[in-house]
Amino acid sequence: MADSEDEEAFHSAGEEEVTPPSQKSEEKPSKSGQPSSTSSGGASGKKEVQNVGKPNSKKAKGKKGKKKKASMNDKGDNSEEMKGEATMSEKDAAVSSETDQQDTKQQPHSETQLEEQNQPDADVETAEGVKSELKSDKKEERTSAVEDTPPESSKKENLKEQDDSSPKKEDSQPESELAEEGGDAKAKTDSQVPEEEEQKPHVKEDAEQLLETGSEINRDAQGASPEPSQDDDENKTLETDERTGESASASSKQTDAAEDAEAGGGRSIMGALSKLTGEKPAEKKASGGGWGWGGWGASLVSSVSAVGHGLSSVIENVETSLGLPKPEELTEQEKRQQEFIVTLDERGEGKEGKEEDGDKDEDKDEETKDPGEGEEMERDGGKEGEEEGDEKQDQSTPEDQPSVPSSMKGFLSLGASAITSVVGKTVTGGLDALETIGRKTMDVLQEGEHRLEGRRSGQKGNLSEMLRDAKEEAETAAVLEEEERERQRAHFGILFDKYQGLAHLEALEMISNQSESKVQGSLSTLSGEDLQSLKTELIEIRDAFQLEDLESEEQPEGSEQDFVNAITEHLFGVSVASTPDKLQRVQRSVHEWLAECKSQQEAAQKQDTKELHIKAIETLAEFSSRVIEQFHKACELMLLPQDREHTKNAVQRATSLSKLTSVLATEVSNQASKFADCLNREAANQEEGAETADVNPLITNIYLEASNSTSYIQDAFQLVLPVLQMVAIERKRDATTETS
Amino acid sequence: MASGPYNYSYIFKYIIIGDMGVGKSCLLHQFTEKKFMADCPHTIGVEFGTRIIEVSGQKIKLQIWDTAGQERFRAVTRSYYRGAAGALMVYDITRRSTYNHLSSWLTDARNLTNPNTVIFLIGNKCDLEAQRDVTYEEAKQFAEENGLLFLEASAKTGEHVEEAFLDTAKKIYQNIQDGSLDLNAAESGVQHKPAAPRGNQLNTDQPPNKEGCPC
Repeated sequence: MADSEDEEAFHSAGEEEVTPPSQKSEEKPSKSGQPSSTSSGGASGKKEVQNVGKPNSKKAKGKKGKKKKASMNDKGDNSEEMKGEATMSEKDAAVSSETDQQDTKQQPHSETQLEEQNQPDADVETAEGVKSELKSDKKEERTSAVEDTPPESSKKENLKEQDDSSPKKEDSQPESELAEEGGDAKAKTDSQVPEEEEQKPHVKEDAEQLLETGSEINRDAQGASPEPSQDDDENKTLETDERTGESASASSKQTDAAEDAEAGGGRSIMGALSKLTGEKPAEKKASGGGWGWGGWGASLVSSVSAVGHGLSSVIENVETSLGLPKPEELTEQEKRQQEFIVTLDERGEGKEGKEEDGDKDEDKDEETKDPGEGEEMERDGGKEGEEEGDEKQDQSTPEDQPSVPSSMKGFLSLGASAITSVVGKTVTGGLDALETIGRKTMDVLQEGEHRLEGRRSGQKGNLSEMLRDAKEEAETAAVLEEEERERQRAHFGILFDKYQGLAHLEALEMISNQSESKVQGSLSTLSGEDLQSLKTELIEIRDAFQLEDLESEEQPEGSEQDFVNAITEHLFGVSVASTPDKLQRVQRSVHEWLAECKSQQEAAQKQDTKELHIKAIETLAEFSSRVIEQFHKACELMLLPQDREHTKNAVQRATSLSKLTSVLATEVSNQASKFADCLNREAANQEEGAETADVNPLITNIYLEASNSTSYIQDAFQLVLPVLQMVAIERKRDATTETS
Repeated sequence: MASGPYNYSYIFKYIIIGDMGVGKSCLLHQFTEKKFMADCPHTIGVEFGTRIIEVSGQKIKLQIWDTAGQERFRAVTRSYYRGAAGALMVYDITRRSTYNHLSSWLTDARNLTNPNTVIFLIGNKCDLEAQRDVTYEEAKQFAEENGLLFLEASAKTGEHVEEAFLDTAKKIYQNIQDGSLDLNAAESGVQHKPAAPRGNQLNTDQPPNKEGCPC
């Protein structure tokens, strides 16, 4: 463990170093995660620290060395790791480490548990981070993967490595610092993850899946690590140079602060790293925890679990499509590779360790060789100067021998990037799915319950009461609906609309308003005598337009022919080439119907009063609609250009229109009273009992609607006035232009 | 009123425009009565037709203003464009002059309606293929150039008549849904009748408001 931890710590240290720059970008997440993370991280960190004590020293050496010489290599690695984990500040790490130490003794179990739960998440996050980094730079991807992998191998080889590391106790402090930082970062991630999990069970599942995939990747990485490390070293060196400067400075600062926190941080980092790297123990724990979460989530929400399964299948598909080997294969490969690595590492470590030790003693700068210790990758990256070449050769020879499938590298980079995208997709996809489910549910609930909805807010009685009320309400509503349907048939407004009376009224209104504005416009353009004369004429028209008192002018019950004659005459008086065909038709049919009704009643045939009432209202509505249509048409015709050729003056037209309106209004009241008579006769025929009482409201209603109808007609009539006035003005204008 | 035959959520105002004799009134008659009116008299000013349709589960009442095509009524009918949610612009595929006048009708439609008014170009009398004087392609191109919906229809056979009216309504409804048509605007040509909560007062002064329940 020590070696692996050291390596991890080393990475983490590098990360820490890098952290300062990275922190800026990552500040937000780290801040949010910090409070909780410190506690959890502390616990884990303690255990790790205890174990790591020796290994840390190696890391520390590595740090120092890296800072000066090897910093470039480390930076590449560190930066990658840092992104995932490094966000934690040194202070936090220190604090956590202190607390952690105390806690560690008390809560060994808790630590492990935390690790288990957190690990998966942490792995995922780190993996994501790595992936993201990878995306940015393929080289980085490789390095990160390589870095992750070496720790695993190193762990196995820890025993051997520890020997190397033990001599380097001097440097242990820096390592611890690094470890602390890493631990804090882990803690942060861990702490964040649990919170997220609580909120979104499916996320947990996703995380689990991710973990699984991540572990597989780790395996791949492990297998591939030997080779990649070489390549990485070369690549890293180039890239890392820039970063190294930063990381080195950062690391130096960290080392000081880290002393306090070292112990705790080291462990936590180790744990996180181990998880990332895919350490067998860690993996087991993590996977176990992950599954536990998954099961829990599934049991909690079946739908959610379904989503999760879908996602997992997706992931599997992706894996297969990527050509990732099956888990079993991977493990086998792992073992083989690890064996190779162990042997290689032993050799390499020995050499490297020696070198490192020497470097440490002499110069921390030289420590850059540290990477060589356990971590091939670090070595590769870290080797900047003379040592690099030597180390590379040393390492390369053993590494090449293992003949690790080069495809593994591809797996690493491919897998990593693929997984990042998959993770992103799964997470977002999972969220989307959840959201959809939630919305659907709400819709269904609201749809099914709109009746109950209102009551819920109002009364908070018990459910049965609510349901009973809802049922009663539904029943009454049904009855009311039936009544309403009946009522509709006799509803004047609806019928008036049905016969397009309303539309004609609206159209008439539009024409009227337009004419009105034109009249006002022409008035505003005139002045002096013209204005006066025009005003006078307009007033004359208006005066002629007054409706005579309908009551006094009530005509004797004229015959059908009287009515037709009257309206035809008056329409002619208006000088509109419009024949009152529709009006006459309606009027005739009404009177025919009334006559038949009367004869039937005299023949003692029973009539349904309700039907009579409906007929009455319908008739009124139709008739008034036709009247308004007539007015509307008259206006349209008056506005036609050739209309101006008519000889009748506006005042005469106005008078005719007024008379026409009177006739029509009278006709309406005639019809109403005839229907009332009809109903009365029906009531008289039925005679027996309180039937009469039943008729009165109907008769009242007929008269009411008759007056309603009359008012519509009068409104329409008033709308004609502006049209008439405007026509008069235009005619006058035409006349003046002609004369002039 | 909730279940009454007059129940609807929206009222869309349509206006049918186009030269005399292209079949505007016949299209309306075919749509509202599903019959072909062989000897259709000249329309005076404007006539009306209504039909309740359903779009996306919403009942919509179409209030269709069928204007007179005669040139002498042009001044009058211009008054009626205002507040139309949809405009059906009709020409006669057997008379090129009616097609040539489209730009004039389109100008009116654009100037006198609001910018969101859906304009649908209908080439009527497509049953008279032998007498065709306007190709489908050129009309289609004209429609595309001017952002119009387009169909060739026949008031006689009823072909595409339904589609023209319904597609217009769908487009209007879509405009409502995506917010480009503001129902509160006075000229939108759309009246919204939200589902009447029980206990509404019946408004006798406004006949079209059929949702009130006097309970």
